[in-house]
Amino acid sequence: MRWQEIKNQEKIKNNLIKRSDFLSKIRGFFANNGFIEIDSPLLVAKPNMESNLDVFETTLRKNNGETKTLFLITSPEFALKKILAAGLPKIYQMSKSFRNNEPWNENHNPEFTLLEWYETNVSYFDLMDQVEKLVDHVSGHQSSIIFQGKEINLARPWIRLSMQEAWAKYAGVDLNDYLTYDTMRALVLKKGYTANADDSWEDLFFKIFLTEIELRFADETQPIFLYDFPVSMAAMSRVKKEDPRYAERFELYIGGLEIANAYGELIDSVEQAKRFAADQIEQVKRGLAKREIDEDFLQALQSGLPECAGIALGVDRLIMLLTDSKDIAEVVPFCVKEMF
Amino acid sequence: MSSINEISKETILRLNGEVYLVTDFQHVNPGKGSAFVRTRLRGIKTGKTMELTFKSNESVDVVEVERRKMQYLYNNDGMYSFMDNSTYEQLDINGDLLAGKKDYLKEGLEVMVIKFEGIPLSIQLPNKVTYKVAQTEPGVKGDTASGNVTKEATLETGATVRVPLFIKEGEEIIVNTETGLYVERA
Repeated sequence: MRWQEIKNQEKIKNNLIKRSDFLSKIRGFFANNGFIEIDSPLLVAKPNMESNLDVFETTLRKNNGETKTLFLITSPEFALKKILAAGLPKIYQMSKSFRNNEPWNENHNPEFTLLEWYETNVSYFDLMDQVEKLVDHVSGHQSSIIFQGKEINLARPWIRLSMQEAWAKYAGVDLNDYLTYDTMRALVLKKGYTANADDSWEDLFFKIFLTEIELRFADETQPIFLYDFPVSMAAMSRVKKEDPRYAERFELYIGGLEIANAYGELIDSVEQAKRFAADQIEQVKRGLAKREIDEDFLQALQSGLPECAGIALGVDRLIMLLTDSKDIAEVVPFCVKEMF
Repeated sequence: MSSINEISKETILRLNGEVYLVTDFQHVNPGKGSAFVRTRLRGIKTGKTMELTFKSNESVDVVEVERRKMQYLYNNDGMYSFMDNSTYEQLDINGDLLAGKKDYLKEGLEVMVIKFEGIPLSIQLPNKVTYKVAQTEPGVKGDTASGNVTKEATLETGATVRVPLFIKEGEEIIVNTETGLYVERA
């Protein structure tokens, strides 16, 4: 019984008290920096489009007997970008998001707390500075933390590594030479991995990345910003003007945990519509139901979304780091592993 | 052929003409893309370890292994000896292959020895085994104020496990050999 666990185990009870303090500090940081909190809906008619994220569904029943399928958000991105288009330049949302069909392991819970913030007229590199300041504030200005026996130095600036640099450092190759299907496939086979007919370029990329690169991040004693992803993994970020083979995207790793995902946001509605159409094809290919495109969102982009950058940060994972907790179950009041 | 999604520890794979033992695996879903299984493999013939990631729907060539029930006798100089009680055949296994398991071996324990083409690869312990507590501090009742509801105990094999405060030296307890956790009094 979870509530008995909380009653009998000081560590979990203390973590919940610390959690409350961290949530409050996060809100304090954004208030001090002129951000408006937006609590946009968790229940929406048009779900997020990323095909690798599975959505929860429910049924709306109206008084006149009509029913409609609605979805829980995997992130508040669409609504927040609409608010940016409405003219509020510095906004954030800290709320639950929901992702179905994920592993129930130490880092995942289908319902989790996501912090997402956006600012107009800043670049994704500016967001790296903002994250460093946020963590400094929330941690109480600690210069380092111990996480699972390893000391992580939080002094700024943190490591900034491009995807190309990461491949050179850990996999021993220049990623620019392997951006086509044939070259990446040959590399995968040469390194001793399997390469199947239905493996996409991304699949081949990840076979190497997950084995030789991502695991090594846990060895670093500082947090790492991994930036400039290959353009096929752009998601909703914009293509780099200086190098269209890459996109303005970064991920933050601390203690080997993926903590945040950020974009120099795509504001070209034509390009976004193309990507949504490609997402729909992927959804069907993966055996998921085809999701309807949020036309209202495309209209907001078309009306002129200002240049902006945005970032999504996993609050539960940040709290895991700051309380030296190995499992997400130790930092949330009730966890799916125990509930279902 | 089986799906890589179905593998477990101790699975044997044939890959590029070589045979490997899966010593560890983890399901990984990167932020964008398919699901993957990251494995740690040990070459049966070479003894070399390597890491390899597969897509989770990939088919792999799983090889059948020989499993034989044997009894643990003793260890000497890093070699662990087992005997087949029906044939009296004896087998020595290098302790390096028994990482994480050798601390749970007590004399007479029946285990499953896994062999491939006559080469011993690994052993499987029974999930729950009874051990005598060789050493532990007397637990002071009412010590829960400090938040401690368990204390450390050393088993007859030398392995340590966390046990409830009421467990005394000389008592027999049941331990889950997979997790290393105390289950209950024997």
